[in-house]
Amino acid sequence: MHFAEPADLFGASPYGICMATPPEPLHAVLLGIMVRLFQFFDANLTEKYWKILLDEIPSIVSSIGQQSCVSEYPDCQKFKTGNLGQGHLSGKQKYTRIVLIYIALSRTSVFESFEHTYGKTPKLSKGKISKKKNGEVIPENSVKQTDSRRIVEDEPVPGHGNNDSAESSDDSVEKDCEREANEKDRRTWKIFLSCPVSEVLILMMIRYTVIL
Amino acid sequence: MSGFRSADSDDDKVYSHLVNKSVGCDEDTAPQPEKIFFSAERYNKLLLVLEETIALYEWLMKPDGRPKKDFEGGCDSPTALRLREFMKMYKMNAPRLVGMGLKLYKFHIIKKWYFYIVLFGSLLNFDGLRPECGHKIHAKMTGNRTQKRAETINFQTAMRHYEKNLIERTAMPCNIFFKKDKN
Repeated sequence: MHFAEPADLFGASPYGICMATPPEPLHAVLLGIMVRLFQFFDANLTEKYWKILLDEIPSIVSSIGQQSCVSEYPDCQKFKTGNLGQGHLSGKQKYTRIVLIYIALSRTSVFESFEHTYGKTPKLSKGKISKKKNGEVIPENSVKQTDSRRIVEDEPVPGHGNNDSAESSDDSVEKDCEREANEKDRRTWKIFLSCPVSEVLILMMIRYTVIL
Repeated sequence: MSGFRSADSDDDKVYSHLVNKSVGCDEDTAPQPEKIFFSAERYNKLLLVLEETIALYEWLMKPDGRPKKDFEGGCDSPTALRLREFMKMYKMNAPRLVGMGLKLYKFHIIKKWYFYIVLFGSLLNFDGLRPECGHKIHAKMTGNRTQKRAETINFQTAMRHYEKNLIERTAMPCNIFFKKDKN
């Protein structure tokens, strides 16, 4: 890192201009991550799923509006019609949009309708060969869904498409590892939970009680 | 509705899809959605992304002080490690497949937040929300009352701004108060 000489000349930052101008939370978080996250949901949910989701929004907005004793809840009146895709939203409203999606997805009715709208969740069809491309046999699970309207599956594990019992046991071990990692994440979550009373805690409670 | 949106907005694709839906299209003519199946595991991962993103913002904008032990160790401090874990989780569960993907400064800066908190304290100390809000009144509203031509928009915006300031300054000593919008 380059230090200016002398370091404190006229109050200049010793770390240079990049450190003297910190990133702005408005553009980095509210207009950055929140917008990208909404774009992800928009690109990966079909219209029917959006309809299920948006039908829940007006009731959620009205229920949040009734909690007038808590001033920390975000102002949701912009979305009382259920239209999350309107233009001219401020940074706070884009944040509110994500909160509303989170609350809507936390509802048990939405979860059930998402899972059972087109039938139950499919079983993994391991070893089913779907394509032959350039002489290579590609199992169906490893075919990446290029359509932007579909949920992209996780990257295939090497040897995932075979029917060997040893590999299926490997899959179960990996799932266990993932589960342990998720639990570890939750344990290390204490840092974020140290913030004052906010809607996040309440939302998390809703999720744990309703979904799980 | 789309005419009011700016051409360089990042959300145009998002808005166009949803706005068309909100206007209402016939169900018979609308393209049928493809079959997507949500497993409980996948669904919970999506919820986790939303939950942690909201919690991260709340933690960043926390006005109170933070315990020093969370920031001891620099890039190996518990805060820095947790931020890195959040980035990995976000990349895994909500990837971006268009453009540069998640190779964005906005995303990269997440793992540097701990350093700026050490330097400047709470993010509220350098939050640009209120100054940006002032642009609505001083730049956007005055800019909308021009002819919106490239040659004259600067001059006309400046004139509208000058007139607005002049009227406000003369109205203040006369105790004339303006009705202000909430937004």
